Amino acid sequence: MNNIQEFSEKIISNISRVIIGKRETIELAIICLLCQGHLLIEDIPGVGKTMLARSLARSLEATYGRVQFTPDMLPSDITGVSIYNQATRDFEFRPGPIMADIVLADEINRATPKTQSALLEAMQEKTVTVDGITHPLPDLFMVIATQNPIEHEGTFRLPEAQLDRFLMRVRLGYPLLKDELDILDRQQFTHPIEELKPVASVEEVQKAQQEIRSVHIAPPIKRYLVELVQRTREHDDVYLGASPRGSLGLSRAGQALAAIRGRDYVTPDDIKFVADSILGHRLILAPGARLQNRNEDNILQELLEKVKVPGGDVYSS
Amino acid sequence: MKAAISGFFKQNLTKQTLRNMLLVYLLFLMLVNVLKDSIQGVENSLIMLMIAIGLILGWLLAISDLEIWKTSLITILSGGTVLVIRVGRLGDLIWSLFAQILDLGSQTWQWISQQGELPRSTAIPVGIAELGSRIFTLGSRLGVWIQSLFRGKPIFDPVATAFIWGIFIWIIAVWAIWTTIRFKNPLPGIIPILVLTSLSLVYTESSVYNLIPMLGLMVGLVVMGWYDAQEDQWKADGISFAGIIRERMVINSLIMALGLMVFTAFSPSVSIRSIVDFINRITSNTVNDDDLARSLGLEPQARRDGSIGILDSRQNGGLPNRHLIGSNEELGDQIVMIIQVQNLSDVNMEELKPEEQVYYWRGLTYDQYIGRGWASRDSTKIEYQPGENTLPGWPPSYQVIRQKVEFIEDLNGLLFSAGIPLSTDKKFEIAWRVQASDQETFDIFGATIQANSYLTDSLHPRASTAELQETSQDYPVWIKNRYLGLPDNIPDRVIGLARDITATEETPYDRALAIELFLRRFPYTLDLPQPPFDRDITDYFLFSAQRGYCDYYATAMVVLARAAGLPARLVTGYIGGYYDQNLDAYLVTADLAHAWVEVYFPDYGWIIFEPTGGRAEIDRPDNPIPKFSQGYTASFDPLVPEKTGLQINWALVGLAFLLGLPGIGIMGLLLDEQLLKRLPSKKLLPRIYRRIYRYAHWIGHTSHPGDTPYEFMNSLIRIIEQYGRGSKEADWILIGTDQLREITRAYYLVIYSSDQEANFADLALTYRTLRTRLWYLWLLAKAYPYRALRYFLWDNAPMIISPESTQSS
Repeated sequence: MNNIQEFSEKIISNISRVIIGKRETIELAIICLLCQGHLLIEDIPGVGKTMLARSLARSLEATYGRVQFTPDMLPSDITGVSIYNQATRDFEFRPGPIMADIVLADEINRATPKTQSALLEAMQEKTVTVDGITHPLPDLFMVIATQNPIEHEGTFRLPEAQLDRFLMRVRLGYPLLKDELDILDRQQFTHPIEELKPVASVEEVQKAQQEIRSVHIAPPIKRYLVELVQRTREHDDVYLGASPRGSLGLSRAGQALAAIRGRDYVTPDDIKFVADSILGHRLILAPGARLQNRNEDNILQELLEKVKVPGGDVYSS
Repeated sequence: MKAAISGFFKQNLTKQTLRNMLLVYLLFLMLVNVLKDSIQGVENSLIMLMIAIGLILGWLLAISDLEIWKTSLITILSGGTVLVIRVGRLGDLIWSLFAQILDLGSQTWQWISQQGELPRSTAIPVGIAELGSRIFTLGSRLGVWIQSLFRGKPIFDPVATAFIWGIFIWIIAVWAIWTTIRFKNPLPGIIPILVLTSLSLVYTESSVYNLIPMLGLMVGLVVMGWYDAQEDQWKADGISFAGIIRERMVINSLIMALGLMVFTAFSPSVSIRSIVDFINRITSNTVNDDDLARSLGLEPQARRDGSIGILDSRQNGGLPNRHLIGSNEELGDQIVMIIQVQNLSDVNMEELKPEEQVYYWRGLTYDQYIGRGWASRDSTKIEYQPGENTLPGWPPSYQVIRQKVEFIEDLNGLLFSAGIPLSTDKKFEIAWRVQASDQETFDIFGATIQANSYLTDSLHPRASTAELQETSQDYPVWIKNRYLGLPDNIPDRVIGLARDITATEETPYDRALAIELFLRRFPYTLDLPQPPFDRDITDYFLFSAQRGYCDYYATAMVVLARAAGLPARLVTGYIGGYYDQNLDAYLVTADLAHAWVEVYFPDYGWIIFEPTGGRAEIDRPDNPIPKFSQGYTASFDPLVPEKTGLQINWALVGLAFLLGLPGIGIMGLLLDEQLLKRLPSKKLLPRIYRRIYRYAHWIGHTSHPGDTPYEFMNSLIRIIEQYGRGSKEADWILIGTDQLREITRAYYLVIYSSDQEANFADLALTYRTLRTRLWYLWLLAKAYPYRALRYFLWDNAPMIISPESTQSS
């Protein structure tokens, strides 16, 4: 797994030139890439959501599409339209911005749910159907969406089905004092993203995506992560817990993290590391739970403290 | 005549006077309310009587225009007279004397007018002599009490207490009303009441809230007094004033008094202790405060030891609701023990015939009366080996007797003997309430022995009537502290009765006899309903039931004796037995279970009294008994060697065990290590991981069940570093962190990785080195709280180790 570690380290250090002091978030983004999942970056404006997505796209030799979501947007603005060509006397498909390896869906929750749902098929099936004709998307196809926290004005909450299709939801958060000073210095003359060069090819990424599947995940770990997911469903403060897609994502992300760290087996620490990003956006709190100051983060934190980490005892049985 | 009287009253018993008298009386009521908690031996009725008569006397004296010294003399003399009559119960005698004198007078008149027979009365001189002797006894008791004060060893005598308090209250009452009327200013009159109240509150540490209504009354009284004086002045000066002034005055002073009361109630109170200390400082008494106070009948309530020990279930008695020995319904004539008696003392004395001798086989003694029964205070259990002496010495009045006791029935392992067990031939245990090395200080609660029969030598106190009559009242402190106390809620009439019975008895022994005799008149019966729950059983027995069985008699006698200033306690056990000539032994049957009384006499110890009606009186020799020699060595020869052999065996076993214990431990550890070595890593690691987890818990590591092994390792390393850094073995301990890391790494590889063959050869060894360090850390963690140990174990002790800081994050 050392080649994956090298490969990801290459991308991480590249992105780190733009996104300062957020190594863990970058790692999570890489994990998402390696798991062929889609990434949702949720945070307040100005902390570098879009920048993270753009620098990831630029670090790969991949095609890049960008959609700025607005409330008046229509599904066809994303998927593309068939236009009557006077010359050929035929309808001609004009692909939308979604036909790219990496698609940045900026401020996804500013669009209406109808438009948001246009992404559904694309994200799950990797195809786009316009006027009854199905168009395949590129192999790498990855959506990186950013959104403002749902409490903000002029936003539409993403439907559960849509949310569930995102493998991860990550947050960036404010930088530390020294990192923020560093940002000031780096952007004095030019933005560092202008100088970002691709460091990996699409083929390399696809190879890595295949390789992480062979990372060993021991029975006690499987049991641990499934138990974790199941406990979200039983929790009193949770109205809807994580789906089996959550368990699947947790296990895959654990594998990816192990590979990034240069290991060929998953540890419970890996699962704990990714749990919040994988499960957080899949929980729907019970009505009233928020009034008692509960949120997805502290519910998951509680579960991580409570669910026993199995060791050899489960293994031997 | 009638007009003159009514005029006299109109002139002197004005509304103001009546009002002042009423207010002063109310003040006194509150004083009595405070005093009743603190004075033992003086009943409220006596004090109230003194106050009422004193107030009237004060009023009469105030309007009589007598000079001050005459007033004082009259006050003291009249108060003394009233007290002598009341306390000495001389009322009946004086009344009959008076009637006889009247009778004699009428006879004389007849003789003069009709030339009849010369009247003669022998009853009058006898009555006068009786009166004189009673007054003399009272006087001599007072004398003894005053003497004891001067000697610096105050004694408690209820008669003296009643006298002192009575005359004191009397003087205060007369003074209060006299000054109020004479000076038209009640303030100096009520100051003594307030001082007395505060002092007794201070001493007994009762609630100071009693003072608050007094304060209100006082303010009202003073203000109204001043106003009356002012009004008189206006009248004298011929100033005319509106009647509404008086009304306003009353209302305003009422509001002021109320406001003051409310303010006082809510303001924080002054520390009572500091006042006491202050008073102690300025008086700097040479006499022991407590003794002096006790001599005046004041009980230090806060210091009273109310705790009842739990050493023995028997310590919390419930007698007589629950009989201490057996139950009377089942009392039958089956034999419970057989006792042979042998006098060991070398003094020849005229002994009773064995069949006439009545021994009291003592089981348990009780020192604390709790109103509903008896209890014993804390005692210390001491185990004695066969032949071991329980006491180093004792007064020469004790006779040593040997008993051979054979149990027929199981008596719960209690040891019975006449007097205090001195030594036995079996191992036994004594619960001492007090035991000091000097000759007279020992106080036994009871003794237990695990045997069906035993030989015991016991100390049997013997004293003659003459000797007992000459004893002093210099009781040791431990006797005074334990055996004079009564609960607060003893009804007044019991206290009064005790004084009435004993007032005119000269010596403590006579007083005890008087109480015994008084109680023996009550009829004996076993058929008695349960006393009402809210009644004091002594009060119930003395005033309601007036019949009962031994428990009641004995309880009543102890309470009365204590109220009369005699240290007394209740004893339970068996009495006498049927003497069998063939066996030369007493057959003790179940129905001989008994409770009796022991009264303490200095130099003679606890002397038995028998208040139960129907039982034979204690037969005490009249002439002094020769002193017994005190040379005594226990010898139960035939049994001794057997015992010592057994003891050596036990010692050997103990030694072997002590030596073997570390050996067994080391063997276990070696065996464990061999076992661990043989295990494959996959089985070994979970096992040692669990153990490390347990050790960590012992050291004080707290973790969540959800912690991964790495998280656990990191927080444990933090603890190791916290305790280890700066300790004398820092380098050695800190190596443990490497081993912990190694084990955790191995754990991950073996448990979680795909490498099925992963195996680590030296894990058991690594674990062993880590384990010794964890043990040492455990020692450090346990030693940490002790500053002295820190000095030995650390060069620089770590500053704070709080559970929060050791929690894994």
